[in-house]
Amino acid sequence: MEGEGIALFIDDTVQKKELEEVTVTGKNRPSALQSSAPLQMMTKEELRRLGYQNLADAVRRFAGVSVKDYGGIGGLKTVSIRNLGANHTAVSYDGVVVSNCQAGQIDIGRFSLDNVETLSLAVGQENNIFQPARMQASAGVLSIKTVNPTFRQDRNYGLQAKVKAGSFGMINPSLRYIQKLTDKIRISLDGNYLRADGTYPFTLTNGSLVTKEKRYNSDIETWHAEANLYCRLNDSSSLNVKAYYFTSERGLPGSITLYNPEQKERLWDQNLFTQVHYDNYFSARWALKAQLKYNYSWNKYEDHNLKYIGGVQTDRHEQQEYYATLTGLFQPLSGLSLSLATDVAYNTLKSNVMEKESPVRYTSQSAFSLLYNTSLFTVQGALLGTYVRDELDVEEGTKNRHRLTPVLSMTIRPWKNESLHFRILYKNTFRVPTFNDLYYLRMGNRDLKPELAREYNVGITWGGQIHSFIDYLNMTLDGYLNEVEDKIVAVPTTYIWKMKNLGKVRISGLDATMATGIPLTKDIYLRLTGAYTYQKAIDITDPNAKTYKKQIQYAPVHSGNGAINIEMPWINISYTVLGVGKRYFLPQNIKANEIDGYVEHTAAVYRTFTLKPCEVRLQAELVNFTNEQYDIIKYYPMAGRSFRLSATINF
Amino acid sequence: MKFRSLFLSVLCMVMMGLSFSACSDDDDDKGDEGSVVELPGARAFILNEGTYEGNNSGITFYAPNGDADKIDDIYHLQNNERLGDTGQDILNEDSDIFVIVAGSKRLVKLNKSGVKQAELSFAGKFGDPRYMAEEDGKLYVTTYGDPGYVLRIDTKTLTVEDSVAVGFNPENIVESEDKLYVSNTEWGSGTSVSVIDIKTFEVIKKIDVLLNPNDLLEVNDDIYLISWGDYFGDPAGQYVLQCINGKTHESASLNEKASKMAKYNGIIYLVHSTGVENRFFTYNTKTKKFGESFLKNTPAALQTATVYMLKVNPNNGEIYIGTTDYQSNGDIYRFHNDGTLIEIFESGGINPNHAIFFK
Repeated sequence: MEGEGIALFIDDTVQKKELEEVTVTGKNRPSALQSSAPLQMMTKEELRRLGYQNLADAVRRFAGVSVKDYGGIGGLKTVSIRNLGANHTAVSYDGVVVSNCQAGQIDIGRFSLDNVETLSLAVGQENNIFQPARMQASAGVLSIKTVNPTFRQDRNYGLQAKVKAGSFGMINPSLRYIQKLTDKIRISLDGNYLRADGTYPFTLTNGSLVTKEKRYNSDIETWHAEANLYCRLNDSSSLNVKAYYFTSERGLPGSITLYNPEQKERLWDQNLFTQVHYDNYFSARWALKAQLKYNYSWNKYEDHNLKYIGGVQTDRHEQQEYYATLTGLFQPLSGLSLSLATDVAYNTLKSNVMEKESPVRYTSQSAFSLLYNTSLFTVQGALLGTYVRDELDVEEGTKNRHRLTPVLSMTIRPWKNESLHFRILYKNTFRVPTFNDLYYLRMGNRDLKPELAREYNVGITWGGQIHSFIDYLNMTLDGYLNEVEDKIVAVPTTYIWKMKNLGKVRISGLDATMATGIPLTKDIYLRLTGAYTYQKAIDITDPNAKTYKKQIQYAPVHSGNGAINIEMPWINISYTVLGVGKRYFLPQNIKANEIDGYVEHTAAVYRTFTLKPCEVRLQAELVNFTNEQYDIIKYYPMAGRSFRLSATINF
Repeated sequence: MKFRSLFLSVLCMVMMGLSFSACSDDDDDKGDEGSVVELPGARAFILNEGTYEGNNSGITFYAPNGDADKIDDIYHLQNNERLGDTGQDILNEDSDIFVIVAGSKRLVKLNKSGVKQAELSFAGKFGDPRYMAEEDGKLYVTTYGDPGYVLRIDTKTLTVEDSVAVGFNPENIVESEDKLYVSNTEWGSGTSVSVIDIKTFEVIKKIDVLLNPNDLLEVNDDIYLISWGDYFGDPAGQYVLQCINGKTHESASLNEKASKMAKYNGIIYLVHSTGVENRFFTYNTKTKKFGESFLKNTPAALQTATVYMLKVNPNNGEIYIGTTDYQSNGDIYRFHNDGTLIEIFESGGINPNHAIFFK
């Protein structure tokens, strides 16, 4: 019993995966249904099956999530859960939250989907209390978990070569090598190169004039390399080390400006990080997890315009982070677990566009969590303390910000034989002002307070078989209310914009999801998934403003998506559809500010076969096949119809 | 007989009246060619700047005599296309309207009902066009750059005839006595106004002024200037009103702060709008004295809203004040010259910054 209890908190997906390989994927996902916080998940197989091009495409399919996508392969893509804002959504990569003290938001466009084992999105907090404090500090977490090496038959190595090519001059070869060094030590090496001209056609509507245009200065070239070392030290402990490198150069096509085709912005990026993960399950009662990370990121932005001195503006940013976390898990009684997590981080920035040349930040976060689990219910509570210290100039000393934030959630399963769960969640979080908010030349404001977010969620989940014909059917329905207070926004003060804590947003909504699997014949298997979100996200800052109680920018009231996948012995076919209702690109809800809704359809076919000694997979995708012309961000047109082909060979 | 002559004379008068009105119709129609709507003679156009990279600048038509409905974005209605990004400046000359759309890097010539006659693109050749002045059939347009330029553009053909280099990123420009005065903002670090001789089209002088010169206004051959100062520095040095003597080119501070100004009958109407509160006052250019608020019973909302536009109808002295919150459509407050409120109406776009008037 006790051992079973603790297994709940272990990273179950990865571990189970190794044991059962195929059976887990796409079937019942008990953890998601039992979770007291809305949890959505996609496995490697699903991601492949549905033909998603990049991480952003996959994340867009989660209910209640909006991805801000500035279009094109290199366009910035950020994720926001339930319209709380990208700064309230953490992105974790193999268990460590990716940080960006300068801008706050993470560009998820840079993560490759190739090596993703599972992609999951938790609103509020997962029932896994055995995790770092930073993982609990945001309103929601998008978790990216990469593939652990698995070896075919009795081999002690593996090689995967893959090449993708597609529209707009995209070519993306990648190579993965895995090796079993000893019984306990495995390594993986990944290399990935991508380039694209990015020049894609789009339809420009200027009043009543509709013209065919091309998106220029959208080229991109990226290199990504990653090395992982997996050591099983003994039966209870393991050590993983990761080194990651990413570099890119891209054109930024910018916003479409009518009558003015000049676009001369460019961006260079470099990111290097290494992280070490150690865990030890000492006994059925005790477990410990420790992680270390060093991160270096650099970028250079250049804009050519006569209005700058010398005709060019160059912004340079260099960030470093040292991060350490230690989590202890204790299970004194069956069903009851306690955890204590402590994180410390040291962040620096060097920049030429900050009032302060090299801001420094110390962060300390501690979370005490409690989870009680019976067959009838699960209760989880946690208290997170955050302490942030910013070093200012010598004469100003330091600025400290600290806060205690709680989370409380519960799931009830009233009937033992029925996979029906009722869940309720309350979570209070905040985001600390970024270095941009605090120090950006002329706009920054050192007196900013944190921006607060409150989440309330109630939901029902059900999973089961309504008919013997159906393999499984899972459904979830969640209603929620969120509030954002002291929102950090740029406020104009005669001719200058200044960052201020001004603004209050109330978001109420409904997320519904369903997934089912039906074996049509012995060989043909049908999967259906669907998600729908209804959301009112309104500005409640100033009763006298023309924007009062109006839908905030870029928040659709209706959005949803669906996918059909048919697996057949000779070929597999997938179809996905994504629809987003009308939105407003400015705060006032008037016709002139409206952006049309859109529906995007994508089809994918693939086949896997064996060409001894290799396993080959061929896949073709037709993205946005109805050639829908739409913007997610106004005047950043998205690409129309495009195709992609890929071949993967496993030696 | 008597009746007959009476009848004839009446008929004659009617005919005359008809021909007279026909004749006046002809006058009114000049400048209305191609219009899809009928507009009254007395008309005002408000330029809404829009938001940065929003492609949402526009022109709102407004009938001061109340004889037609307001039309938001009349440029779109008349031309089936959008005006573009960042409507920066507008002026009217005879029956033509000229508009500078800075982000879109275009100059558009319209007739007085807003129908496009011609346009000029600055893209690929010059920096962003900013402000303009008109004199003798030529437009003088400032363009950003290091150095910035003043371009001479023929109002009929919209061709660039000549250019003269001034300071870095020049903004406003006014004409007085065959000279052009250009404020060299140098993006906040400038301290000069360039003087250009229109005949030779050369810079003949650089006048030292207070930091960050911006708004310019010509009144009775003298030039009034607002220097915005150091945005991030001492508020005392921000938005200082100065006067440049038209003859000696000496510049002197008037020791008052103002963010917008407009003129009528030798009086300068001023507002100092801080974003928190507004102070309205006047300056008499003859007596050299400042006066009290030119508004009676200022509406409460206008006391605190950010004033983005202050214009006076040169035909009747009516005052138009435009306010903004930078994100939703602005409001226009229209007053009689004596300061009594006539009407408040929505500007039909974001950031109303200019208004022009036809009799």
